[in-house]
Amino acid sequence: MIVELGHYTLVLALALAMVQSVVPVFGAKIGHLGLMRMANQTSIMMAVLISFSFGALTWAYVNSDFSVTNVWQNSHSLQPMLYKYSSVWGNHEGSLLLWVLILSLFASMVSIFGKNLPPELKANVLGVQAWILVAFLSFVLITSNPFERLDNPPLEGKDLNPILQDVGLAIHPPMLYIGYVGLSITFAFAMAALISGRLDAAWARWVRPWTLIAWIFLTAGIAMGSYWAYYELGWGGWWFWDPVENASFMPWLAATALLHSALVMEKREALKIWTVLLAIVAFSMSLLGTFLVRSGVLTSVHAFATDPERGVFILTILVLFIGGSLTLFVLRAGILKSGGLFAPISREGALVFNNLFLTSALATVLVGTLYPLMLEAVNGAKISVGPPFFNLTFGPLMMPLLLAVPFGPLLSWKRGDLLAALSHLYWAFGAALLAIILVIAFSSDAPILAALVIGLAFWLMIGAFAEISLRTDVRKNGLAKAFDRARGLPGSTWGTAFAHFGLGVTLLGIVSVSIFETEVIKAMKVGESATISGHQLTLKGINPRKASNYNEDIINFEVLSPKGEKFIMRPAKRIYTTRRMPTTESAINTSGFSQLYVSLGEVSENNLITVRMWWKPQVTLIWLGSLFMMFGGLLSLADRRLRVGAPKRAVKQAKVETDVQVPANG
Amino acid sequence: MIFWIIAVSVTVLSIGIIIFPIFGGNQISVSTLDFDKEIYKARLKEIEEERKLGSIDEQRYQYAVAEEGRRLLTLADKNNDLNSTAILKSGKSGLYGLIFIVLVVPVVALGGYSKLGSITTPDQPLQARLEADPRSQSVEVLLKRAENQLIKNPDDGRGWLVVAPVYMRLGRYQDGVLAYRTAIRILGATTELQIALGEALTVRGGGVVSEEANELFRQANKADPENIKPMFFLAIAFNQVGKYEEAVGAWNKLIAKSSKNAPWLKVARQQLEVAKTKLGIELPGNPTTQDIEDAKQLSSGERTDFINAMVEKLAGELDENPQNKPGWQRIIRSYTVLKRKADALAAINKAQRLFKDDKTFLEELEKNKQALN
Amino acid sequence: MVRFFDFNKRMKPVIKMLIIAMVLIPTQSLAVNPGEVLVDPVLEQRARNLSSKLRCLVCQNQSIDDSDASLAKDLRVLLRKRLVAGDSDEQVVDYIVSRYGEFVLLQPRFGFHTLILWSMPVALILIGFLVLLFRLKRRSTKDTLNLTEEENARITKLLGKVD
Repeated sequence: MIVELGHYTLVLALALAMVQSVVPVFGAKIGHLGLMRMANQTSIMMAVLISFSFGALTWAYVNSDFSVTNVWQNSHSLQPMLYKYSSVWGNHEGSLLLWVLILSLFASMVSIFGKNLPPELKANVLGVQAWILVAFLSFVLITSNPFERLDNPPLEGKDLNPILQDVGLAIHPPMLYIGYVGLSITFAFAMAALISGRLDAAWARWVRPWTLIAWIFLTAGIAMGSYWAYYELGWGGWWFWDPVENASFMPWLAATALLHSALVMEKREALKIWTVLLAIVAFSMSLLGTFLVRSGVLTSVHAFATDPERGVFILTILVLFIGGSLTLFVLRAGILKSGGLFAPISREGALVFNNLFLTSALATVLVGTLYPLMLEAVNGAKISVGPPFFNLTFGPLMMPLLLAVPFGPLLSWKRGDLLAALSHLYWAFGAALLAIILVIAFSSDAPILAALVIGLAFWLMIGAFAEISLRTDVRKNGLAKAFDRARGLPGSTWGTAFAHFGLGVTLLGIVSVSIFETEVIKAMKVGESATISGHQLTLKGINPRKASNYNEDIINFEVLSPKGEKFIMRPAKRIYTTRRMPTTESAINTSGFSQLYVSLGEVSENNLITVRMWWKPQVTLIWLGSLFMMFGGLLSLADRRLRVGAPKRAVKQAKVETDVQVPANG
Repeated sequence: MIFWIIAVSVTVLSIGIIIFPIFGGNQISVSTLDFDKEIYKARLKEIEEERKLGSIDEQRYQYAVAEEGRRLLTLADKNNDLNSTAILKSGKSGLYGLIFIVLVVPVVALGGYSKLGSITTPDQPLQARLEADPRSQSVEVLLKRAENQLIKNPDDGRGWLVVAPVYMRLGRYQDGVLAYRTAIRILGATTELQIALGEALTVRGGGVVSEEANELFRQANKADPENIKPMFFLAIAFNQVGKYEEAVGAWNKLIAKSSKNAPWLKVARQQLEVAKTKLGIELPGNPTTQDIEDAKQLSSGERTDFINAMVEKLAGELDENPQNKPGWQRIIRSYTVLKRKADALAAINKAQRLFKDDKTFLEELEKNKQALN
Repeated sequence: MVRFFDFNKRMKPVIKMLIIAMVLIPTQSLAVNPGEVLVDPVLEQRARNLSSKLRCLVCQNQSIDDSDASLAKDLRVLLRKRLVAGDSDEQVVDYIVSRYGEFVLLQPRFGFHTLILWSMPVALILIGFLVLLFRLKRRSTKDTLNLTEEENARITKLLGKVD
């Protein structure tokens, strides 16, 4: 009965979402406070119902109830408990249920924490969120129902896809989904603003925390996914410009642009139309990320035809939301007046520059991802757009932007002074120059371009803190006072510094691993050795091992590092018993920021094992950088200035009063 | 019934909770402007802070303050124009909303669920299914329980011996082979176990006695020369690899050692006949030595494919040249082993028609037929 | 259940469970085998560079350098044979394109059919700058004047007695 109740609460949640998508919006239109307010209770109720539903499915997974088709198809009674939980979202149906759950939780967060929102705005926002909820819940219930049952349940499930049986999978999708869904809130805010026709600095201020949350989680999700692909797939790559990766990267680019443009809108009430458009684009990219990837259309147009029901549903949702919101945008954008003026060289100007490059990069990735599809649809020609294309286009697009990053925070609003800004950056400039000279001097084979990019990375890292050093000014104020001032700086200043610093760290990781990486492929027997970048690896032996749902051969390598340390690395080849599927488990040893990566190929008849070894200098900086970015995001989110008080509920009266109210005391 | 009671209560409760605020008392009326004032105050504080930190100079500070102030004033003007105050309206609008909610929610929820749900299917967590009364359980459930025991205690050799024959009976030959192997690893190789494993390997191989099985039977035969089973399979193996002279010898020995009415005598005699005939002429439809050499190189999965291919080949040959009694016997046996019941029945019917006059063969066919059903 | 994806081949590196979630599976093992490596390190480096730009035709968006599909292996061997025979990089690529079509190139050639694709990044930046230039020209950035007494009074009144 638990399962069926879970199914019922999901249907009930759909019913509530239908009400929610009409009543509060109607209430906002006619100015009926009660009808607006019911949106709060409804969104909390929906979150409760969907949580129960999700809990019921989880219960079925944990208890291996194979009478639920979805459980039977994607789990096994012998899986470790962690993977029984993660199996819930390790499949199409369950992952959509997770999506819906996160959406409803976000909506209830808006109703709980959104006390500082005017009732009409809040009602409209929750109403728009309910539209999305209706679309997704219908999609889940009609085409991808995780609660379908089997009359004669088998005794064992088909197991979760082995490459998904990993801690990475347990964390990565929820992170990414929180990011995707977080952008639905900004979208809802944008739609609400277009519906009510009211869009100003206040709007940007209300939206910013939500965009930040989405951005932090997107960053986390992408970084996690990249690291997961890096160690789990076993070919040492960390980014492949795969359509699936692009699908998560595009919302991130849009969200990053949105964060910056919302800043302009909040402080100067400029870029209003642009910001709203970005909010729509960002969520559209999320939808694309969730759906186009799922429908398989990115891989092949024909995949769409294999499941017309889902395909058509997905297409309808995309057209309704993206098309609908853009139409509303075109219809209403005219009534938005542009706000504050600014000179080209100014903080605003820098942020516009940022947006120009970020959106161009976004468009490049989008077009690159979809182009083969479009071309095939137009004239049947088949071409591929792969990593070389993206490296050649996306890379150069990023360079001017990264070069400009340290200037941004140093320019004043409205009218800035480029030379003055530059004069605060001499440290960064010096560091960059030094790095370039050192690279050229000590590494004869590194291309000049690589040295320049390493310089750029240092320019970014050091330059990120230029604003802080300017504000604190140790030399003038002395250490104690400078420290005091540093503590007094707003969270968002620190946040910006750390996020930009992280960008430089990531860039440094990317360049050094792509230029200085070494690789050795060797067929080895027990007792043989191989040498890579000073590490001597000796194949010691093979240990078979049996785990609950797989068997594996662990290959033991004894490694002697250049510093003379000895350690053991244990890559393995696994066979998952239920699916009879082999996987390779790579072994990674981290020293400093660098990693030694060992992965296994085929084992030939005469016990020759193909071993692929990489020395990846500074590779961990790639993900470490993203941690700095997230930390920056968190600091910015914690900025107390982001919090706006709600008007004091002093006037408890049913009487209409339009004039002056007693204000809150802040 | 309990389900519906809970479902309806949850529905009613939800409706109650969401309609409450529509008519809830004690609500305040707030102007949108109040919220704008909050923003204004927050912004002003921010600018103040920036001035304190020295991020902006006095002049810029004044400008910023002016900008914020004017923004607020514009909003206040607009607010007066539009009178965009949210007010608590009593009466009709709220009532419409209420009716809408009360109509839509139960209809969509209860109606939708009746269409989608499977109310009659109870929860069936695996553990509970396994723990149910053993007398009412199927072999599969009992087997699953035994398996779970073995997972907890994989060195229980006896346990493996218990499940192995069950696997074989259920047609899970691969698991049967593994179970016997594990049992041998734990308990040590006894003649009985060797025979059992050899048999399992042969069944898994669709009746082909593999090199490994052959070796097991040879060892068993050495240890216990009086045991008929290894002799039987060794003889079969001779037939299969085309060593007909050895086969004839082996079958003769086996027949001599068997009691008069031993059940395997019939097969033994047929096989003996086959071997003898082969020594004279090659009947069409048998696997060639090359085929058998090929089969040895294969993995078990591939071997199954291989056997299927051989069966198809034989079927083709029987179509062309139906007067091949051993061929029919073999194809019927193959179909039976491969669990292709319909094909087996069809072949039996065809053979019955072809060999109307051969009484003993007809009897044998009838028996095959019954065994199939 | 209908599968959404055609995953007979090894899956592409992926981040997303989105996709993987429903995947049937790829077996993983390694691409370039020691046996294929050319003796001449310069030629081998050229071979590796080229093969990372050629698509494994039966895989998803994966280069033949990364793939262990047998077709990818054939291509790697073919490519090395041509290199050893003395072909230039271009000749090798032309030869392979003539046999497998442009689909094999991970970096599409510049041409009429890829005009939009290739010109997109540059065009967007240019258009963006032009629009900005046009718009910025029209505006002058006069600084706002300080608030007048009257305005101040109105604000104070609006806020009530502010702190």
